[in-house]
Amino acid sequence: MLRAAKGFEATYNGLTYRAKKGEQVEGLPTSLLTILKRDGIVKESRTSKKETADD
Amino acid sequence: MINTSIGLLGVARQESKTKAAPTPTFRHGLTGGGLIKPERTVEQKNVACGLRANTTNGAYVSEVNMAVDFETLAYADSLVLYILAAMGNIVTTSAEKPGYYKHVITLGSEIPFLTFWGQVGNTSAATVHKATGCKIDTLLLSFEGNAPLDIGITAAGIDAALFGGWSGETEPSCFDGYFIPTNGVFKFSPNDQTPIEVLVTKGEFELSNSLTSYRGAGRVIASEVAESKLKTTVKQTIIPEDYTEIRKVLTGSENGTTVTNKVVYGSAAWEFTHSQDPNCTMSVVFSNVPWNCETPEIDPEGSAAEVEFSADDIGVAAKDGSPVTITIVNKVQTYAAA
Repeated sequence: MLRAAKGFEATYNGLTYRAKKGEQVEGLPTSLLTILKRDGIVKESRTSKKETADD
Repeated sequence: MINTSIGLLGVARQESKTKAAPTPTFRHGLTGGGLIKPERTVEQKNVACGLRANTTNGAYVSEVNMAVDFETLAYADSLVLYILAAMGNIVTTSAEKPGYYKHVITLGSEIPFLTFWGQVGNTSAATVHKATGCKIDTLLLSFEGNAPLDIGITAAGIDAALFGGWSGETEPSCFDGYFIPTNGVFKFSPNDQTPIEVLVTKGEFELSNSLTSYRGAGRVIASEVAESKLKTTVKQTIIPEDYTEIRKVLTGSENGTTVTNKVVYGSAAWEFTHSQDPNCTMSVVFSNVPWNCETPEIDPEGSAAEVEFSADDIGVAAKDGSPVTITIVNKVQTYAAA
């Protein structure tokens, strides 16, 4: 499961995507995900949103 | 008279091609340019009618181009929108300092539409023109010494409303400072992707979308403004310590002795500071640059050689690559359409 390590807004190839910190991230183009993962904006997470927030 | 020292430009991102922005998101000062210029092309249909001159009714307007051109400073807020509109993609996150945002702009498949407002002369004379459905044609950034960065922009639109006034009360950016080379960091590598600091005296890059206007029969204003491939050109002049950089470009290695028949790909990275806000920063990173260079010329008066390294069209080396990556930190939270 992918979650936003920090809130982001992205305009990518004409479409705009947003996520708040800790939100599950899905439906993003693979190439955008590659960039977001590379820059540490989106990370793999095995915990639920509540657990992530509690951490 | 029309006082040309009174000028202001407004800009906002449009939701779609036909939906103009209602008010400017940014307004800023200018250092030159004609702002919004309806360019009418008048042609003459030759008619022989008993006299040795054409008839007056042979003249017709063949096309009207809604051109936008201006020169300005690198204002931290509006510059992001211009670069986004030239390149296409942006990722915005919070910066380390609260209240600041980091915008990373890269090559995208589509570029957004902008609405421009341009004023030349006193507004009491209804001097504000508005151009809509605009795309950025070229964006030029240049610097030399410690002078403020110069930004030159050309754009083209599909409609305009002339001789109006401003809508909204957006505060102009003119008073908030701009990006400058002072205390910046300038790196360069002629043949690898890890640039190192060098003595750069001046530099520039241009993003060009090579716009083409299309108009249907019966319509003088363009119905469609289409972009082509993004062409990124870059130039920078350095004072080299020795022949190492020139040798790497010419021969492909630091100890080569024959001119290489292969392209040597290097890189460059420029970091600029802000004239008023130390938390605002700008970096420009070029990768896979097919550098070419001059060689030093004799000067009997004597001086250190300045050598220009340039590349005409930087490509991408991966499917998610970008010829240039521009990162700006400023106080603007979003560049989505208003």
